[in-house]
Amino acid sequence: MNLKEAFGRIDSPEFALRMNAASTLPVFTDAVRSEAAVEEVEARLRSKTLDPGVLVDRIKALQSIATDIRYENPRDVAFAVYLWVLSRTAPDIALIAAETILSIPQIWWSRQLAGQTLRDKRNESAGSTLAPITYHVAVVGNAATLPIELSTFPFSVEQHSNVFVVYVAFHAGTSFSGIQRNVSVVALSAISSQGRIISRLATTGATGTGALNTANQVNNKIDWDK
Amino acid sequence: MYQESGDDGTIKDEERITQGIRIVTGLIINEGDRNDPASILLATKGGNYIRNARRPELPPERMKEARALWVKEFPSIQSRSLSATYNCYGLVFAHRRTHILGDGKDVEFILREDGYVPVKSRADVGLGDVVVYRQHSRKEITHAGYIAAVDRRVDVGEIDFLVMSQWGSDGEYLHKEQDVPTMYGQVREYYTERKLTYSS
Repeated sequence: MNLKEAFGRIDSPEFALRMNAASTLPVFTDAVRSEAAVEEVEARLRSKTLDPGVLVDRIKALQSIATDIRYENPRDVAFAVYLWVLSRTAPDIALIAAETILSIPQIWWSRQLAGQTLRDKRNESAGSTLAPITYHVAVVGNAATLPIELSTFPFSVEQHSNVFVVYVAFHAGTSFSGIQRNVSVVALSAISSQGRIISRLATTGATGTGALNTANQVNNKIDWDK
Repeated sequence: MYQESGDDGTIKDEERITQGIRIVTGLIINEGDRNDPASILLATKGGNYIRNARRPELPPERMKEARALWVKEFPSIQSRSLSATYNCYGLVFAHRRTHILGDGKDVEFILREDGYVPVKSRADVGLGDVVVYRQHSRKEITHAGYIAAVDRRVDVGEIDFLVMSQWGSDGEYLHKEQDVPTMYGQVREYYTERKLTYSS
């Protein structure tokens, strides 16, 4: 199978239908893994005979095809496959692909994989095998100035359209503002490009020990109206 | 499903199912948790939240193509409905209302919490019982459906089952228990929550 045939297979409706029989993401990725076309693309990436940027371009090209917004994007499986292969062979490029994918509406597998890719990256950047506690705060403006108070913790900034998402990661048992936490996501907020708060949520995974209070503290540390 | 994380920092059940991250038009939320607008309130009999999200529908022509594909591969299957919004676990445990997220371990958790017990003998499997599939006996659950018909062929001493199950987003089918996409595997186990008529 040559590369053109492999791409053609992965982009084909029949391939998408077969992969869409998967019940959950692990079943989906197991099925993808055993497909000859996917093996071909992965082998070429590993042997450096295929530039990983080609897959990002391919995602963007498929993204540009008009779809009926009432329904799931029919290229979702192709997006997911290219991202999955990149995450295994070119993790840095996979982040770019994940960013691109997350701007696409009405997707399913690819969105789950993109979220997983970003989460894995954050875990890695936190430099620990412990389960990280991750704060998600989204702001617009001069991202480099944000969030000063939290900068002693590893953080990264991503841009999604007009919204910057700032990831701050630290670890279970870490003391932050005097509060111990043992749950995952605790804060999510976003403001529009005009600086207007469009969403300001404080969420807890479940049984948050002080998580809600902590979320509010994180929100309060940022001058949302700036 | 919701347990406190350990002091050693290991990822316990709660974190495993809440770490899914979903980003919608630039916003990140926990995929399938209570705050996900695509989720519905769904819990086990034990009261533990089941992570879920309603998947978008696929274009009708795509759904029909899916049906044609699988009918060609398994001519005896019967299509019941073509909707992508729920998966097999959503059919069995949530009455087609949503797509249950997670992995095979989450399904085992739901089975336990909902009071299902294994049915050891095929002879004891009854209508409405649940069949789960695995690639190998030690691998995670890949698929589930419920027993829709039991054919006891006394002349040859065999029992055949018809299963109703949702094949990912490709629609819901009535099929012989062995007629399923390869990705599910052929290792099958049966569970029931019947009271009084079984195990008593």
